[in-house]
Amino acid sequence: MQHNPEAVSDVLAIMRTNKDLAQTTTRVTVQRIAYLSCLLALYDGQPTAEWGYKFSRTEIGTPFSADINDAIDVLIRTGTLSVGREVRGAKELLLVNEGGLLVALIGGLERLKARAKYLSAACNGGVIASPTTLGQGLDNEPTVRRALKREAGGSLLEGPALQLLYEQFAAINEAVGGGKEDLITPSVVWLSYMAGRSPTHREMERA
Amino acid sequence: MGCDIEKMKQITHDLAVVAVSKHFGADGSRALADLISIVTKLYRNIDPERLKAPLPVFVVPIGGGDVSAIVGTAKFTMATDLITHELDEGCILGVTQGGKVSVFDAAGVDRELLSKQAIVYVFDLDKEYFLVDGMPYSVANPTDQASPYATPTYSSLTNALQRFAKRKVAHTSCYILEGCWADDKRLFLKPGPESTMRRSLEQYLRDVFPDAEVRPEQNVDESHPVDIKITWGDTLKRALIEIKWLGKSRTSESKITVDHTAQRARDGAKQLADYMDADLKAAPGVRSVGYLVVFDARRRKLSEATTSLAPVEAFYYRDREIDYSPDYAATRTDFHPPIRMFAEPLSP
Repeated sequence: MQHNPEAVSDVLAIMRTNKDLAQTTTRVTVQRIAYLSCLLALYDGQPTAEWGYKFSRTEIGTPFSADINDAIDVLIRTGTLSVGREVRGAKELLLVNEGGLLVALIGGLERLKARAKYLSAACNGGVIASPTTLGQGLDNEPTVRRALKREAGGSLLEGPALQLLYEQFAAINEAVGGGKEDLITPSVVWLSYMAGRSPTHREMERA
Repeated sequence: MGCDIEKMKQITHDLAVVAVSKHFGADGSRALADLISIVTKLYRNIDPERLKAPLPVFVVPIGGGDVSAIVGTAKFTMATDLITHELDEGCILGVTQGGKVSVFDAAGVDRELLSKQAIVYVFDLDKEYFLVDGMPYSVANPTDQASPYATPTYSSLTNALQRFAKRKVAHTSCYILEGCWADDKRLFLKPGPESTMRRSLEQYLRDVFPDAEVRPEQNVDESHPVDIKITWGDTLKRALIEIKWLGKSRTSESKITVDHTAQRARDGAKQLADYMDADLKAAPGVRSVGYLVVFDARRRKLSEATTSLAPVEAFYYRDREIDYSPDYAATRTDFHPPIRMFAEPLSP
């Protein structure tokens, strides 16, 4: 079976970055970070058609990429990743080795180097925003919301709802200002906006 | 629905990362993530609720200045995961290049001045914030822990639901649930409180299980009684939660609209059992477990005109469990024992 090199490379990059950031990583985390990375590429003006794999709504999860799921499986089979203890109901994924040979084989591909900044920004943004805000923010992404309202599955990042996403990105770009060197800050702002959080949320809870 | 620009601006104004980016540039944002990861590691060994002194931790972004004139000389440097009792006395931690922490004496350190050249995180009893360029930015804490960077102490859904019952429902310690009540003494519920209860529980479960997908069910009718679905992506394991409430609802004109007794809980159990049968047929490869959650707001001797109740009547049902017959939890492996959450009235 042909494995998607972008997906394999992305899973490795996410696992390595999250390991450095001391973050618990599960399959759901990887799917979410991969999706956020794709959104950041879109924010940066890249067409989603060039991302290399698609996301959709499924019974297993949303957003979900079959290529990412397959990449995780193949990395477990090859011993690069292992399945650890259960954390909050989900199995933790662990990086067993740094994927040296795999990284050497696929990391040199030019088309894969360009996406590193999106993956890094998504991992770092997810840490700053918090895992809860990451999940909630992505759940409210316009094309995800549209897909979730349907009984059956559907592809994400397409259709009329995409226009609202573009509007949100334009608003963030205006609010945050500056160039696109820093993708972490807009990712956190967007996730926080979509999750409906503000720093005063805690003040609203009684002690 | 378009983009809410004013909300976007407010969020931008309040977030520490925006201030960090403006003050330190792109390297600042990365440094902030590093700082949070160090705090996360610290809290694996240290419970922030048990800290005896404020805990400031700082990181100097790449290109930042020398802060030694502000913090002095480090007492020692060590790996983050080895730090435990060293924090018993007042100290300030600095993140080093190698991801370790240097420990400095906190006495006399001007944190605001430090924040001109470093990003400073502070946990101080019930306050948690970042200092950036002299300004504080609160840390949003949607969790039940003292800090969102601390490791939760429970892992199972059962445990989480029991904690929700105790910490949120019992004394209505949730601003969302506050909106359920029709009166100040919490004798009556407002008509149709189900969606509010569901929203409160859904939010709580999202915070407790950030690695799972927690979603309200879109199709809510008699044939689809499930209110919340939780899916863990790595396994074909799923929790289906059905919420029922007991008690009396009353309008603002003091008309009782509904009176739900224990029978409603029993009906809910049957509904859920029937749904689990249908779900098994529809998706035989998925292991679903049904949870019946009962918000119990029953009071004894409550009539339309009641404005207050003696404690013996108000709290009559607090410790009275509901008998279920049939007892699905005893005969099925996909049915968890119902969890009753008694919502206390305010003591007169």
